[in-house]
Formats: sequence, C-alpha cells, structure tokens
Amino acid sequence: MSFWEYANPKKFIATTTPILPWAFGIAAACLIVGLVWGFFFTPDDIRQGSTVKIIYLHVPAAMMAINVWGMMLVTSLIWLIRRHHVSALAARAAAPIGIVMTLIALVTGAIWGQPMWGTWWAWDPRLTSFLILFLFYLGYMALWEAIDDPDTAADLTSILCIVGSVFAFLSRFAVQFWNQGLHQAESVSLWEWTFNVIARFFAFVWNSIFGAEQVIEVAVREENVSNVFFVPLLICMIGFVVLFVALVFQRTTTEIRVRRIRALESRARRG
Amino acid sequence: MDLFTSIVDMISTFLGLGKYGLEVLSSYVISLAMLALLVWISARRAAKVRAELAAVEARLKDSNDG
Repeated sequence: MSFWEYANPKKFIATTTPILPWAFGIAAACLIVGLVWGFFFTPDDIRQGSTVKIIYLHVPAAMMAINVWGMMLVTSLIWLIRRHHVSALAARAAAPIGIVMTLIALVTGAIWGQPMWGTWWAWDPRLTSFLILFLFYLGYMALWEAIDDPDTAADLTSILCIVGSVFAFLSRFAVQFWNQGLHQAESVSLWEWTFNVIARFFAFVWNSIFGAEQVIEVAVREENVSNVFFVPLLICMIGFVVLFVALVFQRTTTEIRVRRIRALESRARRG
Repeated sequence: MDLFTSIVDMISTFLGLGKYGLEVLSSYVISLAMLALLVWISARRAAKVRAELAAVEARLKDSNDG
C-alpha cells in the first residue's frame, strides 16, 4: 500500500472519517487534563507569579502557528510537484487553524508581556516575525478566496506559502538569529527534554545494576522549564497537535465535498 | 467597571491567582473561546456541506432516472 493512495479523495474520506471522533476525543481529553493540571495544580513562578499559567496556552499555540505553516509548505510542494488535489485542499483547510493559533499566541503573549515587560507590544524579532506570519496567513486565505479557478488558486497560494515559509522559519529561530529583544529564548526543546529523560533513565539503570561503587552522574542539560510546569505543558502540546490533526481532516473532507458539489453542478449545467 | 474589578478580584482570590488574576483569566477565556469558535465553525460548515452534497446527488439521480 502506498502513501499516495490517500491522494484519492474517496480513500482519504473513508480513512479519516472513522478517525475523527477518536481524534477529537483524545484532543479534548489532553486539553482538559493539561489545562486543569496546569491551572489548578502547579505552583506560581517565583518571578512571574500566576502569569506562568499562560504558558499552557501560549507555547502550544505558538508551536502550532509555525508547524501548521510547515505542514502547508509540505502539502503545497506536493501539489506543485505531483498535482494531487487533496494536498492543495489540505493546505487550504489548515490555514484558518494556523491563523487562530497565531492569533492566540499573539494575544496571550501581549497579555503576558504587559505585567512582565511593562508593555503590550515591542518590535522584538520574535514578536515581529509572528505578526508577519499572521499577515501571511491572512494573505494566503484571501488569495484562495480571490481566484475562481481552483487550480490557479492552488498554484499561486503554493508559491505564497513557499515565500511565507521564510518568515515561519524566522519566527522559529528569531531569538537565536538576533540575540536581542524582550522575548526569551525558546522555552521548550523536546530534543533536550528527551535527551534528559533518556540520560536519567540510563543512569538509573546503570546505578541499579552496578550499585553504589560505580555510580554515574548524568550531566543533564539546562532546563528552561521546570518539570513541574513541563509535564502539563507537554500534555497541552499533544492536545493542540491532535486537535489540529482532527480539524485538518474534517476541514479537508469538507473542501473535497465542496469541490465535488461544484463538479456535479457544472456537469449538470453542461449536460 | 468597579463591579467588574470586584468580580475579577473575587475569582482571582478564589483561584489563588494573586494580583495577576485578570491577565491569567482573560488569556484562558480568549484562547478557549477562539478554539471553541474554530471547532464550532468547522463542524457547522462540515454538516452544511454534507447535506448540500447529498441534496445535489439526490437531485441529479432523480433527473437521470426521470
């Protein structure tokens, strides 16, 4: 079985429809557990007080704002190279989800920034690149609506998506590229967290087997977010990812059906 | 405005949010409202389009049969 079979609209709908209730259910469960845990059962931060609770919405939304554009880039490239309509429709379906994620990241960032930085907004590299990403999402959605011919619209929006990827990439790495501005370095690195967990597990196993004489100390990397905050944050991030998957499946199915309605009506008019 | 401030203060004290209650609560309310709106709009459009497609297919089937 090939991955490209899912480019067939019927196969795509038949495969994703039974997954949808599960995906929405898992997303809701993760978000409820993560947000309730984060809101009610984590302590306040020494410096930031209770505003640290905003992290459970701000970080997953910001992560998804960039990753949704990444997904749109992949599907746009598939459209340009292989001309699969489902991939172009998936990119179109993902854009409104991406813009909502970007808006949540911008709004919660401004609300968080006001008490911490003393300002709602600063022309900081990360904030500015996110604002530009938001404008790219707007432009992308407007371009789809502005062009009647669906293939031409898919071509032009794909090109726009490739151009916008520069800003999505800059949004992700702005803090590293320009070591200035108010925004802190990235809060969460899944690679570093995974490395820390594996290293600690290895040390635990080694020490358990060989005993106290040959204890190894693990040089764990610096953690930007304490585990007290990180575990509920990770659950929220999983919830946002699964919610995106569920929404993009549902919205792509809707776009496929809209295309089918147009095709049937056009056939009826002709014959 | 005083009533609003008192309500927010009361909720913040109840939830143990301290002096940043308004910031935390408004972030949650706005974000969850936006997510709920996105899910609702997507579900509503999906149902509407599914019904529309079924109607078009039935109409075409009828015209072909007739």
